[in-house]
Amino acid sequence: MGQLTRPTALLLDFGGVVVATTNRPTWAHELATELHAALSAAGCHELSVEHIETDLKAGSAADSHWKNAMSRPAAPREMTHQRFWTEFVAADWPAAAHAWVTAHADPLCHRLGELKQDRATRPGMSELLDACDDLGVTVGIVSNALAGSVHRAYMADHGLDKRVAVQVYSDEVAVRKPNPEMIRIAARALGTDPAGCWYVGDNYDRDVLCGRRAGAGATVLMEARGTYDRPYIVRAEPDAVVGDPDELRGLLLGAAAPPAR
Amino acid sequence: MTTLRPPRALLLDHGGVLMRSVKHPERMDAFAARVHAMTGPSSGLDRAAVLASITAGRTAYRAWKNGLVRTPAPREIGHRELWEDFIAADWPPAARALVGAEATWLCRELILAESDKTVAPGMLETLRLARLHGVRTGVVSNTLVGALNRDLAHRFGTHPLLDVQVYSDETGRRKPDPEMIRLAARALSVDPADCWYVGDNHDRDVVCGKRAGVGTTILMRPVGRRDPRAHPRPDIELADGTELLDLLRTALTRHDTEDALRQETTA
Repeated sequence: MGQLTRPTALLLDFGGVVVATTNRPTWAHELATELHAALSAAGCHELSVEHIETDLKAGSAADSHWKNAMSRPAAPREMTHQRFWTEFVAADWPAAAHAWVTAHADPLCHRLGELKQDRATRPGMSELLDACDDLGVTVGIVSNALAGSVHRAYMADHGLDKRVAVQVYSDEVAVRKPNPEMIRIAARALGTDPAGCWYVGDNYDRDVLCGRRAGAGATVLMEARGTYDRPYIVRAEPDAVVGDPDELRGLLLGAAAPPAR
Repeated sequence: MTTLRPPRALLLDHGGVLMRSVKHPERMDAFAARVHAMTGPSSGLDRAAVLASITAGRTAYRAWKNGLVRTPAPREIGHRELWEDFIAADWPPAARALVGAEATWLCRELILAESDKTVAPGMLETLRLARLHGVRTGVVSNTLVGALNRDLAHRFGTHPLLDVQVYSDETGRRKPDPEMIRLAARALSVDPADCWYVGDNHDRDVVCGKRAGVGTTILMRPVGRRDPRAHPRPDIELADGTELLDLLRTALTRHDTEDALRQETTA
């Protein structure tokens, strides 16, 4: 794999790299309770909280399977908010409830994202961003998301939005990793090309594959919860594996200076 | 109008009906400066060029909307489309890609810069009155960022009084596509024929209400700004939220009185 060259831009996945995530097992019950109240106020009384909760879990499970399948095509598109609710969750709901979630698909996806996981900035992230500033390496976020608005809110709440030059979320740009367009969009926005970027993600079938497909200058795997729970083996291998943001910083500091332009 | 029955659902346009806005064109300079700072010095754009592009893009978006209003089922613009195609088509590739990737966030900031909104006089009372009488309520609105209207609803206390909110940038369809009103009615388990729809302009709102088969299509617009030749005609014309409140109250009272009389006769 040889010596890595310092990039123009460092592109980071959000979940698993910028933040560590833990699942909140109560999300479906909480969201079902909220949704039940809203549907009742709108005059739809056919669905119980349990019914909604079951369909939320089933829809979410089906979405996970769909996402795993979508790591095979060359250029997968992202799920839309409306499709998630109308087809994956509520296909067999009464017409009124179906119409209500159609109209409210955006805020419902946002709420689902808030409730489903807890997030905490990974230790060492701040030092990593400092090192990037010192080296003149621009930082961007490239992340799959059902609701990128949740990630944007986290970034803003933790002062991280000011430290990155661009945030690319799959639901906003309508394509998802491993579609290499995700990395190309970020590279273009930062005035470089994929070869001038390192791409860092926490799993093989989305991230490492995406970095390889895009022709990133280096594709780095950062280990996180679930990194090795692969749905299937993909042939793409990373240029480097790091355990955490500190190791990534070490890798960056040790990389050869780019050739003078 | 003497026989106007109260609705089973009251559907409202957002800007000009539920909310009143004060425009702040003077803020556009500062907004353009922020966009310019974001694109960075290497973009080759100066601040004046960014402002000119934003101004031209907004004008073109308005023209696009006014053109599509003639079609049976107009779609809403996408956030990226507005920035990449209407505003930044001729920008350097990096700057164009950047505003494309950040388009949703930029649309939010643009709307926030354009105007400040408050609940229009009489509207909170109208919603409360509807709620008190079991009349369901909803918003049906063309928007660039409906999420901001949802935020406003939380801020101004209208959220618990609104049973459904339908926004064009979220559904991908714009009024006068009648599906906008039909979706709201369906979500409230009410037939469009049993709804009142209140909007503030002829070509989006009155047309949409008529196409959707709404029971009563109401134009809310100051007397001096109405177009007597516009077609189709609204069923009722009102100046503001206070008049809407009166209209609803009258319809509900008459209805209650008629019910009481009917019960007396049958008793």
